[in-house]
Amino acid sequence: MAEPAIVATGIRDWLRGRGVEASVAVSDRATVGLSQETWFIRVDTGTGEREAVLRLPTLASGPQSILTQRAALEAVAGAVPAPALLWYDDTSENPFECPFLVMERIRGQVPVGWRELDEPVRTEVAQEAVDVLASLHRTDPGAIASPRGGRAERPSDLDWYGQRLERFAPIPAVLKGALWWLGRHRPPPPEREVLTHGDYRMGNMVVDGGRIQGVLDWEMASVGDPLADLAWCFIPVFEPSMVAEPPLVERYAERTGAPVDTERLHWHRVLGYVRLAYYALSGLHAFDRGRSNDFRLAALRLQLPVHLDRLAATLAGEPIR
Amino acid sequence: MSGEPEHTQRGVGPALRPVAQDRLADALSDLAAGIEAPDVRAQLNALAALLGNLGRPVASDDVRRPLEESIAAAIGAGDEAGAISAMRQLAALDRSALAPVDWSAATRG
Repeated sequence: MAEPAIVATGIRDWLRGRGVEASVAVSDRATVGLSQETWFIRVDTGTGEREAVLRLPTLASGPQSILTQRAALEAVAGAVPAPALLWYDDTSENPFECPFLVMERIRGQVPVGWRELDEPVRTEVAQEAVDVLASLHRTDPGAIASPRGGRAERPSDLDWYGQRLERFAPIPAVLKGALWWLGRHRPPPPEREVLTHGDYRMGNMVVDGGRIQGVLDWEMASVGDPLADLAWCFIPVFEPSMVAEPPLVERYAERTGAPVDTERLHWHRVLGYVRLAYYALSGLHAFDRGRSNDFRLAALRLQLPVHLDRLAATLAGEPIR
Repeated sequence: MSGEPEHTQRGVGPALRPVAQDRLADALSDLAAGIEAPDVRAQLNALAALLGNLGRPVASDDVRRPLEESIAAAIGAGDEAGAISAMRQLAALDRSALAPVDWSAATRG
């Protein structure tokens, strides 16, 4: 991990190399973000101080996470609320020796889940999230559509998760059953592939004044099935969302002008739980094998039974808890 | 009074009695609440969640294995309803062993 002084001098020197004299100070580092380093910085180029965010890849995320994020932020600029891209370097020829990007800092709160918002704000923000999602799915994917732009991991790709889960064999029997079910019910390719966020949910949205000020964390953006994003938006990463989903699905259909195939949405919801189980297994294995001493990764083992219980309940058509 | 040392009469000396893990978890959470750095707070809360769940009674293999075998058999027979039913039971069983976790605290401090 970088140090505050290295971050500040790194950005200052990089800007100087481009003819920009600036003073740079590190104000904080984000707690969350298991896959990337996030630093809050203040940059003054002589025209006033600007609050910004530096993102660096980690060994786990690799440089592609930065390249994808950069391409996505360029694609969605002006189309959906997202941080403005200030500076970036796709190469490793810089003080950090890896790709990085600096984006505008958006002020507000980032609730970890929908439940952290009180009603009626929760429902209002959920409606706005659906509207933003519909706008995103109408946006030209730009460089994300190119082979170098998007990630190999596509949230709508069952085969990708199936292969990655083999690393953790033997996998839990419930997970094995879910993969079998997903294979039997795999929907045909969507009529229209669109620019997808890939991790579109509360926890990646800045909220202030009861409105979405910005959507963050674009490193999983790709071109794929829009319903993968819609299913993921309200999936309980931690606790159930407590929002009424059917009216929101209807709203999404109205905004996009196309009916939502509920069976396809259900399939993506089940795949979403498989994905959560995969993340939990990845995290706990990283801790168990000594690749990380992050207790948050170790604690993911406590999420795994919860994800699998919700997965099985969803398959059985029962409410989740 | 017998000639045995006091600790053998009582079973085990007070210092050697195992600490109740719930107490350890609660104490760790309280400690975390007083920490300013969110990073450290999140780590301590995650550790408290792990401590609070250490050694909790889980379903025995005698109970779990037949359900796992039912899932495998149903998959082999193409019996979707049977597989989902067994998956449902097994998942509920495994989840029932967990103590609740404050994920907001354990991820963001």
